Parts: sequence; structure tokens; C-alpha cells
Amino acid sequence: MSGEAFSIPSSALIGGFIQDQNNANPNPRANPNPVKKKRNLPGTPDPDAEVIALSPKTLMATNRFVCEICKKGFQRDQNLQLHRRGHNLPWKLRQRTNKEVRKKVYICPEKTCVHHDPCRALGDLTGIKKHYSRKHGEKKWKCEKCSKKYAVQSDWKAHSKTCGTREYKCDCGTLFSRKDSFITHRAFCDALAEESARLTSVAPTTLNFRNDAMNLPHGFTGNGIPQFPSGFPQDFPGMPAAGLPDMVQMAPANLFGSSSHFPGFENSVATSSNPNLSLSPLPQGLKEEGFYSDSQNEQSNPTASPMSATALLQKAAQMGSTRSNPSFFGNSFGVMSSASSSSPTATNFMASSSNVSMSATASNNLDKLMLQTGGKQGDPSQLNIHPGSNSFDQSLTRDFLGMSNARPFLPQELVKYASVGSTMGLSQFTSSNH
Amino acid sequence: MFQDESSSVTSSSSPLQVFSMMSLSPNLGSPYPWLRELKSEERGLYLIHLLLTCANHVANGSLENANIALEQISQLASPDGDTMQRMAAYFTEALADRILKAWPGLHKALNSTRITLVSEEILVRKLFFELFPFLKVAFVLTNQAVIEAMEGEKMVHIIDLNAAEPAQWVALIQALSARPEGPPHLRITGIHQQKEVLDQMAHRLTEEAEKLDLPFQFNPVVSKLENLDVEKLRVKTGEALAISSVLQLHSFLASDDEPHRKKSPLGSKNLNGIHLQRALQMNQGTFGELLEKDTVNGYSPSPDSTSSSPLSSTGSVKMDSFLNALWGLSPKLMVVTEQDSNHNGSTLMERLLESLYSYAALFDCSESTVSRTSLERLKVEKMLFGEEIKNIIACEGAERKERHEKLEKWIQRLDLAGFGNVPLSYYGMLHARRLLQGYNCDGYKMKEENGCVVICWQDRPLFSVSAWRCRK
Repeated sequence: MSGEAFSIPSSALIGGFIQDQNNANPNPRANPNPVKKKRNLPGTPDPDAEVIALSPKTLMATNRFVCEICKKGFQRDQNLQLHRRGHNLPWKLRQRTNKEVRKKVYICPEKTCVHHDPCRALGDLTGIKKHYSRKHGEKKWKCEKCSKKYAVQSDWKAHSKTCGTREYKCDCGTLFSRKDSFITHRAFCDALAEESARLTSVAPTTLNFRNDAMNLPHGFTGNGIPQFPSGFPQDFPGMPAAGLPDMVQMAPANLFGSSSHFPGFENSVATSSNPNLSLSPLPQGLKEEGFYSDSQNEQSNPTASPMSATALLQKAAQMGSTRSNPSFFGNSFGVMSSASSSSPTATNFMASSSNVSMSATASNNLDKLMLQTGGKQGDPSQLNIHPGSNSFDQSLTRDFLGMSNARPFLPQELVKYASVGSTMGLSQFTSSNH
Repeated sequence: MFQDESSSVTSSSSPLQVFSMMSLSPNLGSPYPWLRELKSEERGLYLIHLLLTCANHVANGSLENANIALEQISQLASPDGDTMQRMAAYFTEALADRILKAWPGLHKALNSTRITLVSEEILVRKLFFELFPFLKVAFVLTNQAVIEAMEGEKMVHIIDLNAAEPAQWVALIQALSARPEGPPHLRITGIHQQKEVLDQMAHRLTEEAEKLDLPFQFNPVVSKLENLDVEKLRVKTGEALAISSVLQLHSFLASDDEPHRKKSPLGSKNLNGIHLQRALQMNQGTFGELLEKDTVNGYSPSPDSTSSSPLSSTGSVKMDSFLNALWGLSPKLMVVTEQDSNHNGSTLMERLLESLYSYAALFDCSESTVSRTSLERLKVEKMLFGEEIKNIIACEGAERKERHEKLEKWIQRLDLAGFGNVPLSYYGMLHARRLLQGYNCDGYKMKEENGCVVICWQDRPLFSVSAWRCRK
């Protein structure tokens, strides 16, 4: 059965090869079957081919091949042939009627379409059907991952396979599955040409981390000022002053008085009468008791630069050892961590503090100190002894570890610890620094 | 005698009472005039003492006392003073914030009009990167590990869990393009919350790649890391994957399910109370034993610390699932940079003490390398360090994101998650050391620990870098 055929030169028969008297090929120049079929550009048909125009309805009909006997439709001609065999047709009809079939080309029924012109006919029926669906048909197939819709199922399937596995994405947002198209696009893409001059005013440093080009910005090397934390002997007055840009503002050297001893404030304790200093009920007592550790310790680690926070913490920890009640700071030593180079005392000080109610014990110590104004030199005096051994921390460790034997603090032990003073923390600094 | 003292002392007044006594002294004009007379070191020590006192009060819930301590600290602390003054300023702010959380309405009201400028945040990150070598060292080590792992690979895909600093990948692009076997096809997927940052990164990196003729593609993923949908990373078969995590993993430890979570944000009253009692009743020896058990540096075995168990069973659900997701991508390499401190103790005091040490080192470093008047330094200290401190001290539960842990813990955790350690190469460490030397500052130190690198300031470990592969 054939639908309406448009009048175009030659017959407009579709369907199988039923017609016996097929158009004898007027043109002897039928294509010899080439070894490899060369693909023409789409829409440049063989000039000698037969042009067939189909109506949209016919084109989209799914069962083009119809058995003339029972009118059953088939999508494929081969299936129709198979079916026809069952009708026990006369032998001759089973044969392919003409040896040579003139090539057929098809035009798109849509008038506005470029393939409507016979010169741009498409050579394959399946092709024209797909074309018609794609261009002029309704898109019924939708990709699950993205929102792309397709009219042809095979297109949809092919897309689904590659959707989400795209390789390339331009900055402008376009996706590409092919490298060449991506590169081509990028070369001309506008998005890359934009200069985004927003955000920070800090110029990004293009640091090349390779060793052959350690381009640290100049300013950084300038910033690498070695301000040694207080306690480094070599650095006092050691302001690495000259020549370095961003100078570290060293605290005035006279912070600790004129002495170059460390802890300088010891001298200030001795020299300056500063009644306002420390707790008012007992300023003197506080100092004498070495609230800030033993003032007699003459370990002269010169420093005029302010102590680093780390050193202060260590010192605070050691201060506990100078107290008669080591439960405050001193217990820290009971928890020496494994010989790490980091200041164990300070560490442990903090450790103990975490589990000791600081307020209570601190107050204990502080109160004791306050009570021991002036005259009462019981412990404090003992505290002001100065072995000044740098290996103190190790001994301290050992002793405190011995604490776990439930031995209470004995005054003579206190003596040992008392000597720690601030220098101990610093000695740790000095020993660990080079 | 010693015992007598301790016992006699228990009943004595608290130091704060002493202070209040002083304020009544007639010869004192202002409440604490003597405070101003303190020299730097004394002031520093006093600040430490006050901080600890205040924290203890906060932990115990004695807000009045805490308030007095805060008042005193405020006389001494200052964000543009010396190291200890600066630290004290931020720590007290954190403590105050913590106290304020007891009144959620008040807290919210005070914070409701805060404006966080994205540009400022970005600037501060940049400043931290430039003023200090820590990130640079991490990048050097990461890149070197990537280069070595990707030898022979033609398709390299890198996932940056926090794509904020283009310099890292610029360096990698330069290194890869100079590879003897020719550059690979490089894909970098950058994850970040802010689109502008990713845009800038994309631009910078593609510019560099084009300059060096390296086939390159940047995939931005605008997402919070905790909400990351691993599917969006589009990891393809056939490409070699490397993951770079710089200071990102620890936030996955944040969760509300803490075994000994204190109801009030003020801290474990009971626990500290118990300790106090024990402290007072015990003699030195047993106290020493008690303290031996409670150590810092991440090894505290006390039962009330989530950090005591080798891997905290709580709070690690998010971490486990994230690590699992990463493991599922079969990365050839994963480089993890983390802070190397234990700031994840379950009690306030633990965390306070540990962070005092860590941030003392950081502030010392800052003091040693940048001028006191530098506004950049102030910004980094306030908006980076200060915010971290505030998070560590004032927040609890899921809000507390800065859950830094020691390298040992990370090693355990990653090992359990199915990653095998890849020792960082000698060459990489050499690079990094040279970088540090370029800073001309003795304070920076680098040491190797089980194939991982720890960057220290003086003796204090601050950051660790370790490399891992997916172990099947």
C-alpha cells in the first residue's frame, strides 16, 4: 500500500519489491557496487538516483512493508518476505524481481526544510525518517541525568551512555565530549578573555615551589627576622635591627631594667622598689618568695626582649615547683611525657592544671605566698636556692616520677625544684635551638 | 609539714577574694593600679595564671568569679601588645563567648548583626599563606608526593578539598609540564563554599596551563565539604586520582554525640569538682599518679575524654563515612595536612591547656616574624587564630569544628579506613627544608615521624603532613 505520493518524476512506489515491471533503469550508469561505499555528504545525492517523496504519515509509519495478501505490516522488508513465504505464493513472486535496483533517495516532506529539495535529498530511508523526527518531530525521549530531550530513541540511548562522563568543560560552562572541539572552543571562548579583577587586594604570589626557583617574595625574607625568644644568650640586645624591613618591634630593652640577666625582672625586683607591684598586701613578700621564681638565680641568660609566650608558659609551670604546694604546678612533673624535646614541665604543668581545680590550689599557693609575707621564710627561703643545673629537668622528671610512690614532698626536694626558676625553661630553649 | 600546708590551705580564701581585698586599699587609686606596673614577663605570667583561673571558674560554673578574672585580664590583655597579651585577649574573648552561650538568647542577639565579608575571609587566608611558611611547606610536600605518585600516568585527576590557594596548583602545573615524559592531561576538581574563590582559581590555573601548554581542565564544585556529594566529583575510570586535604578533615570529627557531653556549655562542673576533691584529699603520691594518667599531647587515657579511645566511637560517624567515600574513589594518593595538636579533649580545661601551648607557639612565631604594628598580622591573629581559639574554647558538639588531633590519631584513623601510609620522599622534604631556610628564621623546624612530616615552631609541633594510598 502506498500513501499519497507527490508527483515527482518517476514512480512513487514504496513498499517492497513487489512490482515486477519496475522502472527499468533508464540510466545505464547505475553505480557498480564499490568495494567500499563512500559516504557522501548528507544531502548530496547521487544525481541518477530515484527521488522518492513520502508524506509525513508514510514516513513515520512503522510498518512500511505490507503484505499484499493479508495486509499485515512489517518494519523490515526481510520480515515481510519471510511472512510472505507462508502464503505459498507462486514461485516467481518469491524472487527478487529485478536484479538491479535503482538507488532511491528521499526528500523531507517538510517544505521549509533544506532537504525538501531533491538536490539535497537523503539517501537512506532510515536516515530521512530520523531526520524528520529530529528536526520536525516531537521530542519524546528525555535523558534522565540532564534535561536533554530527543526525538529519536537511538539518539537518546547514545546520549545516555555518555551523559555525565563528559571530558571537558570550558569556563563558560559548555561541555564537550571531544578534546578537539573543546580546545577549539576554548580558543575562542569569551569567558576566558574576561579579566576578573575582583576580590583581594593582596597580589597573589606565584610561588614556584621548585627548588630551582625559590622565589620567596622579597618581603617574606624580610619578615624572617630571627627574633629569638628571650633567653637566647646571643641575642641580647640582639635586636636584629639594621637592614631588615618589617622590623619586629622589640619591647624596649629596659623592660627588664638595666640588667642583662635573665629573668631580668629579678633585678628589678632587687633594685626597684615597686610597692605597687604584685599583690598589694604583700608586694615584697611576693617578690621575695620568688613568685616569679627564684630571684637569686644568677643563670645569666641575657635577655632584654620579652619572653615568648611559650617560655612564659613553661616558666609558669615551673613556678609550681617552687611552691611549697606542688599540687598546683609541681604535680605536673609527675606526668613527664616521653622525653620529648618539648618542654615537659610546661606540658605537665598544664596537664596537671587540667585536672586540678586551679582556683583552689592556685588560691592555696597564692594565699600561702601572701601569708608568708616578709618574715616567714620557711619554704621560700629554701626555694631560693640555685643549683642552676641545666639538666634539672631530667632530674626533676625522675624525682617526680618517683612521686608516684606516694612520697610526700620533702622540703629538701623542694629545694631542688625551686632552683629551676625561669632559666630552666630557657635552657630548654637554648638546648633545643641551634 | 607539707601536708599540713595543703590541708590548711584548703579552707583559705580564693585568690580572687584577695584581689577584691586589695581594691579596698585606700592607697590604690584605680582598682588594680599595680597591674599596670607589671613588667612584660610578670604580666605574662600573671595573665597565664588569670586565664587558668578564669577557665576553671567557667568550667565550674562560678560565673561571678570568672567575671572578676575576666575583668582583671582585660586590664592587661591587648590585641596589639606582646605575645602573651595578644593571646590572652583572644582566649578571654573565647571564654567570655563560652559564658555567654549559657544565655542563648543573649548570645544570638549579640551576634546577629555580625557581618562576615567574604573578601575579608579570603584576604586573611591569603595573609596566612604568605606570612607563614606552614601552608607552603604543606603544598611543597603535597605536590612532590603527587608528582612521584603520578609518574607514568597520562591522565591525572586531583581533588582539592579546599581549593582556596591557586599557588599550590600553579606550582604543580609548572612541575608537571616540565616532566621528562611530557605533561599528563590534568584535571583539578576544586571544592569550596564560595563560588568567587573557585572562579578566581579556575582563571588562574587555566591561564597557567595554557601558558605552559598543558592540557588542563578545572571543575569547580561549590559546596560545603560536609555536604559534599562525592558523585559530583566525576571521577572517571582510567584516570589516576590524587586527593589533597589541607586542614579540612578535622571538622568531620564534630558531632553532637559526645559520650560525656556537658549539658551546659560551661563545662564539666562535676568532673572538675571531683578532681578537686580528689586533689585535696590525696597526698602527693596518688595525686601524682592521677596526673600521670591525665596527660596532654593527645595521650590522655582518662575515661572522660573522647580522645582517650584510640578512635572515638562517637563523632567519627561523619568522619568514617567521608573517609569511606574517599576510599571508594580508589585514589592513588591522598595527602593530608592537619594541625598536630590535641585540641579535641572533652573537657574545657584540657582543651584550654593544650591550645595555650599551641597558640603560644603560633603567636610566638607571629611575633618573631612580623612586626607588631602590622595590620596583616593583627588580622591573621584575630580572624584566623582567634576564631579557631574561640571555636575550641567556646563551642561544643557539632558547632565545635576545630577538632585538631595529633598525628598519631590521624595515622590510626586513616589506617583503619583502609589507607596505607606512603612515606614522604626525601626529595620532597629537602624542598620543604629549603623553603623553611629561606625564611631565615631559626624557629621553624621540620621533623620526620613515621614517614610523615611535622612542622614545628621551636619545639612545638604545629602541623603534620602525611601521604596515603588506597589500600585494597
